[in-house]
Amino acid sequence: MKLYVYCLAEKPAVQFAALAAPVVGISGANVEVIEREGLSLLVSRFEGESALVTRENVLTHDSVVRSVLSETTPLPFRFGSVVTEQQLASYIRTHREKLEMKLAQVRGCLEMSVKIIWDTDETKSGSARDDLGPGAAFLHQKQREITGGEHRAEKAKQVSLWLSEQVEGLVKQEEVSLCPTEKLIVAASHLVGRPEVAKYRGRVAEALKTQPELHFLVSGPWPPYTFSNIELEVKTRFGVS
Amino acid sequence: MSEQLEQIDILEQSDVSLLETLDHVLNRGLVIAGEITISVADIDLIFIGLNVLVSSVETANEVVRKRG
Repeated sequence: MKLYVYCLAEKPAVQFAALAAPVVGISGANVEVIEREGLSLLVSRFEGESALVTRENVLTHDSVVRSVLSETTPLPFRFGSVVTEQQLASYIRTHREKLEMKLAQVRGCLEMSVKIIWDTDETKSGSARDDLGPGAAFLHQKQREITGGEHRAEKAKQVSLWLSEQVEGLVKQEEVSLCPTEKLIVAASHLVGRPEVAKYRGRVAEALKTQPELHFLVSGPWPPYTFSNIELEVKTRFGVS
Repeated sequence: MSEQLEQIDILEQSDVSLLETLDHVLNRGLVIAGEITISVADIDLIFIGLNVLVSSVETANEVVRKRG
């Protein structure tokens, strides 16, 4: 039988008081705390090779990670991490130094997320032309898309810099993606010290009032999903059941 | 675009939370093996028309298109 792995954490002085009561994981299996190389891992027994992406499973994964968040800041594993005990032991042994460094980086911190949508027609350059032939109209449309895209990219840079200035001094680390999807211009993740989270929220709330043309989605606190990457080679494959 | 924003505005907080959770849980975090296999089975994860926020949802839509 394999293990489904939720997160790892520094071996705490308090042995995960949150798990004193049984925590139910993926497929209804109880969550266990196991130790490898001096690190604590939250796992549950798992039959099968892969976890289904369902609303219940996704929320369960997150809730298990969050079950220890009040006590410590864990490094979450990506959804679907199903491994043998040997694979897990090998992974921890091989990457122990990097994992400990990463745990030190996120210690005492939480992740906040800001997504920004620019709801404007300014992303389109000029207006559509009805007076052109099919070929010229096609080229004109392409030109509009290119120049509009450049304009959008420039706006994304400006907004990203503006956001960084608003939260300056409250953020320990940030990951920013510009124009990650067609609709978003900025997706920012901030690693914030726990005592600073309320101040961070207040500052972002004040800042967004000054940008009525932007649509904000602020969420958190999260376990540091974004800041857990230790730059392993990753290939995620979506299978279809 | 404005129609999509209206759709976002009428989302329940729990729906927004789910979208954000999908984004974090599916796209980020430690990866043990070189490859993770996960399966999409539950259609209610896919918010047709609301995929303005989360790249995971776009990924799921791509899977649905391939299935279709």
